[in-house]
Formats: sequence, structure tokens, C-alpha cells
Amino acid sequence: MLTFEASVRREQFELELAFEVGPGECLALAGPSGAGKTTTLAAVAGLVRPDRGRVACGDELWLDSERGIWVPPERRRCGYVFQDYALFGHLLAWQNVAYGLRLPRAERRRRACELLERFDAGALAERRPHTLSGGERQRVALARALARDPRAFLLDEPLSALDARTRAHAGRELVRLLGEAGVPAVLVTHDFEQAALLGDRVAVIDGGRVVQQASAADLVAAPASAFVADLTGSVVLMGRARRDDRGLTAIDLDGGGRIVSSEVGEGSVAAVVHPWEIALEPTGAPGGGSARNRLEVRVASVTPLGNRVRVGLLAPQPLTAELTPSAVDQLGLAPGAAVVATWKATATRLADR
Amino acid sequence: MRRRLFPLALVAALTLLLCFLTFPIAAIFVEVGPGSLVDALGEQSSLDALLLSLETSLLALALIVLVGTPAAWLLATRRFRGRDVLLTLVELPLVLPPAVAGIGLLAAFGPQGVFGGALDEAGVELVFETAGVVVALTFVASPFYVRQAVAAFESVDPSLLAASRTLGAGEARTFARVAVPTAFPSLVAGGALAWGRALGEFGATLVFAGSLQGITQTAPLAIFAEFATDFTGAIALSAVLVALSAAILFGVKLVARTGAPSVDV
Repeated sequence: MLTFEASVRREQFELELAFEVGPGECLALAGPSGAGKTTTLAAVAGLVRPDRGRVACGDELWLDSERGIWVPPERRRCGYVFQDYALFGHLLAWQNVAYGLRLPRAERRRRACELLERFDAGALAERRPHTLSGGERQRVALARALARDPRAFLLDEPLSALDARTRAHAGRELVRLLGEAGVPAVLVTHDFEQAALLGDRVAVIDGGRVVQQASAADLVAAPASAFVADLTGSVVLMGRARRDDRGLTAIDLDGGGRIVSSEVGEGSVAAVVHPWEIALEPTGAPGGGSARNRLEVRVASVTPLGNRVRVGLLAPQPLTAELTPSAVDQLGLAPGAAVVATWKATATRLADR
Repeated sequence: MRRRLFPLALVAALTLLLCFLTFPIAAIFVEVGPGSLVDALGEQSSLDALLLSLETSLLALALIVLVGTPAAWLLATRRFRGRDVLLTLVELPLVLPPAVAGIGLLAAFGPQGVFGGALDEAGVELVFETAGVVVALTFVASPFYVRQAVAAFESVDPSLLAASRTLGAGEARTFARVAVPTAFPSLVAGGALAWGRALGEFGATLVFAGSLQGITQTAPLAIFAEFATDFTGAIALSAVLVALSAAILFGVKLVARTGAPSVDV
């Protein structure tokens, strides 16, 4: 069990965070850059000294500001995987892995190669880091982080330095590793999809504070705020809510337009819709469907993503719809086209702004 | 036509600069034939001066690197009040006229100097001694190394240092195993600059240590001494010094290109 509770004060920045991670569990800290994610990891590892707080891992106390306890990073045994992997350029791959090993000379090389083997990277042992691809570097970095039998795993944007093709494979490898290691893991990422893929739980961080902590599915289903909804990739529309006469909530959108929601809300709210709940129709269509919400919009961008197409829409507030490629072809969607975006009142959730 | 004018001006400027910088050096080799070069080197005074130059400049370099490297690491990795002032103080000898440096050294370590009495009691003599040459060279040349070393350590990726710490290495081990090897090419370049400056040092050495053949008369001092009596000899010794300096410069470029030696940590 890793327990963290600390505050770090810097110029124009304040971090005040608390979380717990069980053995074998992975907590993903998700948030925009500048939210304090990397500072948090550094504070767990002891690379940043919090002004106040308490950090404990297993039966070891790493920081207790009240009792004046501070364990330096080299005695915490954290398996830290840095954002750009931070491999030592003057050492070969196996020497990078061996750096943290405290073994007799003859055994160090054998053990380092064993660790590389675990990540199918045995063939890279004699290579220099700058000759390795992003995926290969990650494998060496993981082997190196594992070398000291870490008490906790700390991963900073572990997949961001990889191209989309290697990312899926590297992600699976990471999930396997985290499962095998059986120690608490903390991962930080600005990408909610990566947080959802790798984290058992996701803590959304903004301005140095946890704004919501739940499973990725729960965050998507019930975001506590417009910020969380936006991070999970939902469409967020700001407006003012009031009760209408049919028991629904009517929202007058900032900048124009009105939508309805089956959820209850009052005053200033954020209406949240999943992009895949939004359907597009030609402008002249009769509009006799069950969808209560209809907004006239203009197509801004059409971006294929695997088997889906993400369509960016311009209205007073921007929207995103996810469609199948065949639907895009059938509607002849291209930037500039005028269409009607529709979705149901029951697909419109309300959150705090 | 007009738009070709600027590139032509650039080329002309570079040509002028190169000519001006290389002509005097080339002229030295034109003036001195291979025969007189060997003759001049055969002279005891020239040989003494060259050996003394090598000995004192290498000693000074060793001192500078030994003390300057950890000092530069401190300046590069810590942020504290007065750091800028310290950096400026370290660089001060760069802008000091060498003769002033020599007078300063005399005022501090000379027989009548501030620390003169203490040195005398300790049995250390610097003025008119080889040790005094080393002190003068160290004083004048150290900023060239320290400046470069501070910049080199500052440009080491902080995540490399952090990685080393999380892998169980304390600060001393991180410094020796990661920071120095990573900054190695820049450190070598700084060392070469300092060495080159020490080899050519004239003013501070003359004022502080004098020009005694075999004891404090380094190659530049010997060239100046011979210049009045034996121009050919002065030129021959100059040629050797030029060759030596050029060899240092090219050697360093070579080392900087191949990078730090890979050592099993």
C-alpha cells in the first residue's frame, strides 16, 4: 500500500494531493499539462521535497514532515519510468539496466540481460540508446526500472513518446508488467484513453488538486464537472438550466441555441454528451425522430480514427460527433457542409461548470 | 544581380577574416626552414622552455580540473542567493589584463604580500620558482574551464540525474557516473581552452614568477627573450608552439566527436 498526502508550494503553483494505491493496483493521475502530475510523481520518488505531508510505502515511512522524516530518492527503491525514458546515452542498453544492480561484477551483466529478455529486448543489450526506436527504449527503461525490485512503480506518460502503431503493443506489455509486479503503481498522463487503458482507477487532477477519483467508466458515465467531462472526451456545452413544463430541464446555451435534458439542474450548468450519442442529418430532413435535441451546425473537420470517424462541428459552442465511415460517405460530409446534429434528452447529462 | 550582393559580401568577410588570422601563422612556417627549426630546438634554452611550458601548463590543468569540476557542479546544480555574483567572480580573471593578474598575485602571495608571511613560514616559495608559474597559469586559465563546465553541467538533462537517483545512486555517485560522462565532451573542450590559454600565458607569469631559464622561463617568455637577440630562434620556437596548440585543438575536436569512453559502471 502506497499512501501519499502532501502539499508542494512553488511560485505561482500549489499542489495539495492525497491518494492511496494498493499492491498490484495502478492509479492513473490524469490532467492537463501544468496540473502537477509530474511534480506528484517526483514527490513520491523523493526527487521533490514537499513542504508538508506524509508518504508511506508498505511498512516504510518515506516522508513525515511533522516528525522530520525524509528518505532520499536513492533509498526509496521506486521503479521510475521517465517521460522520455532518460536512458544514459554514454552506456549500452545492458549497462543502463545494470546501473541499479548491486551485484558482483560477473553477475550484473547476466542479470541485466535476463531482465532485457523479459521484455524481448535481449538482442538490444549491446546497443546504444540513441540507436534504439521509441518502443525499444521503453523496453530498456522498463527493464531498468524493474532491476532494483521496486517497492512502487512510477510511470510518467509511458506511452506518449511512442507512435500510434507501437503504442497499443507497448500498452499491453505495460499492463502485463504492472499485473506481474504486484506493487503499487502510479501513472500520470494527459491522455484520458491511456489512463483508462492502464489505470484501475483514475484520479483527475486540475490546478494541483484531485477533482474526481473513480474508475474510468464511472468518470465517463458521471463526470463531476465540465472539466472532467471534457477530459474524458465528452462534448461539453455551457448554458443556463431551468425547469420546463414537461418535467425536463431546458438549457439555454451560451451563445445561442436551446437543448433539453432529462436530468435535473438549475442555473449555470454544463451539458455533457458522448460524441457517439450525436447523430447527423441533412438540413432539409423532416426531423420526425425521437431525438429532442436538434442544433444546426457546420462541419469543421473530418478525422478518421480506426473504424470510426470523428467529425468536428461548429455551432456557437463546438461539438464532436463520432460516426461510422459509411455514414460519413452517405451524408457526403466535408468541411463547410451544413448539417443538423441531433441527440436524445436522455443522453444529455448535467454537471457543474 | 542585386540579390547576389549580400551572399558575396558574406564570403568576402569570411575570406578577409581567414586571411588575416592565418597569414601570420603561415608566415612563421615560411620564415623558418626545417633546418633552422631543428637547430633552434637543439638549443638548451629552447628545449628547457618547451619542457617547462608543458610541465607547468599540465600541472595547472590538473589543478583546474580537479578543483574546478566539483565547483562547477555546485554552481550549476544549486540555486542560491549570490550565485550570480560568484559566477562573475569566477570569470573575473578573463577580463583582467595579464600584467594586473601578475601584480595581484604578487600582492597576495609575494614576499611582501598579504599571505607572504604565512607562505614563508610554511616554507613555500613561489616568486622566481616553478611553482609560481603553475600558480600564475592556474589563476589566468581556470575561468576558461570553469565557465564551460558550469554550462556543460547545466545542459545535462535533469531527468538523467533524477533517473540515477531513483536507481539507488546518491549525489556523489550520480555526479561521477552520469553527470561527468554525459558532460564529458564539453568538459574536454573547456579543458583544452584552459590548456591553450596556459600554454600561451605571458604577462602574469613574467610579473609574478619572472623569466629564469629552466625555472620560470616558459616558451612564450623564451620567445620574447630570444626575440631581441636571435629572431630565427624566436620564430622556430614560435613554430613549435603553434604546432602544439593546433595539435591540442584538433585532438579535442576528435575526442569531442567520439564522446565519452564507455566504462562499465
